[in-house]
Amino acid sequence: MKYRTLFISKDSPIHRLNPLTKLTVLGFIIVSLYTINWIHFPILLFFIIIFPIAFLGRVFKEFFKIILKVGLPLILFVFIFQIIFFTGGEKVIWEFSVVKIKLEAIMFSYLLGSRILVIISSFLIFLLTTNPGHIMNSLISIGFPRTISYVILSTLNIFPYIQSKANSILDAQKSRGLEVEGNIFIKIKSLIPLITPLLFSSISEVEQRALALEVRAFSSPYPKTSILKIKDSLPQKIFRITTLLLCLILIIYKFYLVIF
Amino acid sequence: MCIKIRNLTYSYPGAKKEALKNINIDIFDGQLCGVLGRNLTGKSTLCYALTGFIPHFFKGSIKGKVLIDNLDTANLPLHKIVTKAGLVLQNPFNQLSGEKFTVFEEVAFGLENLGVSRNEMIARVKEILRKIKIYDLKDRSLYHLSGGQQQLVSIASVLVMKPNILVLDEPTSQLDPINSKLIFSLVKELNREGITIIIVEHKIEEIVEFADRILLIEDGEILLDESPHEIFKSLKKYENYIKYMRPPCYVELTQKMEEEGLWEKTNGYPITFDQAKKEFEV
Ligand SMILES: Nc1ncnc2c1ncn2[C@@H]1O[C@H](COP(=O)(O)OP(=O)(O)O)[C@@H](O)[C@H]1O
Ligand SMILES: [Mg+2]
Repeated sequence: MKYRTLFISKDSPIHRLNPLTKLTVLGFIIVSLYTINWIHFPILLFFIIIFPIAFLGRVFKEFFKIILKVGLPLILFVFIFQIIFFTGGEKVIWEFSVVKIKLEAIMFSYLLGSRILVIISSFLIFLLTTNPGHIMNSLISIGFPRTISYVILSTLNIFPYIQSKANSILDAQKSRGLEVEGNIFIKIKSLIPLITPLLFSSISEVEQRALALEVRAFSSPYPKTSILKIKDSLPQKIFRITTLLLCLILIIYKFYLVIF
Repeated sequence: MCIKIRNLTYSYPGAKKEALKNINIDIFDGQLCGVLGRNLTGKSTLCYALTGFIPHFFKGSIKGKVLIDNLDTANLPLHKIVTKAGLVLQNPFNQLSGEKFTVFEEVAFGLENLGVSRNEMIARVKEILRKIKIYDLKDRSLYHLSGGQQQLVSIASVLVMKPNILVLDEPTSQLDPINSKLIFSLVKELNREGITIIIVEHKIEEIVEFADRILLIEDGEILLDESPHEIFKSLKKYENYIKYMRPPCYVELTQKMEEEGLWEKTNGYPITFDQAKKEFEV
């Protein structure tokens, strides 16, 4: 069956957390990535925070699979791209005709790549452990309009969406005799006829989705009620406020460094 | 009177051709209407017009009007219409809200949007799931259902808003014969309970069996609006429409037998298995 959400329904301490708590941690991770300048900080974060959370959330297998299949190729691409096209820097450590590889480029790419890894991982764990309905309700509860919340939710779930779409188009093209398996060149070549139907089907699908929502009174003016009850607790509230304050401190600290 | 369509002509934004041309229909309370027609002739468009999506969702040029319980749909907002006339889209997967995970949550989606209180919502969702006999699926993931189960969920998610008119756009086109049967028997049962039904359906044997009337659409126009029995009474009558709609196999069979002198027609051709059986009983 086609998938439209990454959520895996399980019972774990991470699943039981209020989505806003998880979102706050997500925000904190992103803020800290860009305010703490130590070059190994992202990798440290990945192993000390992200890994254990994936374990606690009982989604480690799925997490690892997606990181390996989607995250790493993306990061590798960014990494190599940055190293080759990095301008500036002086310490050339390897030269090949026009391509000069510099130490600064490697360090910069390492920082960028590991940051991307951490951001993708954090979002991934959030999505794997949070019921989409809870995400929607939390967004509404912090003041987002219903439509915007829905768009955010759909955007967050873009991966399973593209994956399921790509799979069904690939199947259709395979059945029409198109070669899609084999070495890397055949695979890349098979991606080209994939892109057009992917784009076109997405546009008409937007209308279909909007229709599906309206069939269920999505744009009704009444305040939305909810079938799900989101649990919250005082410790979580205190934790959120502390984390947000910490974020603020980090940001102020960063500005302070920039200005003085 | 349930639905009245008066001189409705409609074209989609930017389209040169009219998708619906001068439609006039009266549908009465409790009727079951089958809608037939070739691809791209305006069946879905008619469904949108019947449920207010034309003019509220699809803009374009509209003449004429559609009345539900004597209220002009152009003046009723969509969230009011969905509680009177529900629409089940063609592909059940496309009907999923995309923000829910279990069957129970999905069926509740419409009620959440209508602002129904949580307790009432739970009671109504449970009631509808029991009625459609998918209560045991309630905690299942939406993404692990068969096509038929998914279609039942999308019907439930529309019925939960308690419309007394249900419009189904090719509800079985993606389903295998067994799952199709499931949907047909549900539709029959809902109709018996008094819900007015308009169903677009290609499976002619099924539709003639339970439809009070057949609307045949071609090129945005209603070519035919009669009871199935009336339509297949004589070859001379349905011959004109054979390009647009296949007769039920029982009609084809007895008509051939008639040609060969093996069978004699008394009161039209049999359109269902039971009628055919009666014809051949000695
Ligand atoms: N959303 C749309 N926008 C523009 N034109 C449409 C749209 N949907 C259908 N049409 C056009 O309207 C006509 C009737 O389509 P439709 O009602 O979907 O036919 P059917 O359901 O009988 O296959 C077709 O010519 C089709 O191209
Ligand atoms: Mg259609």
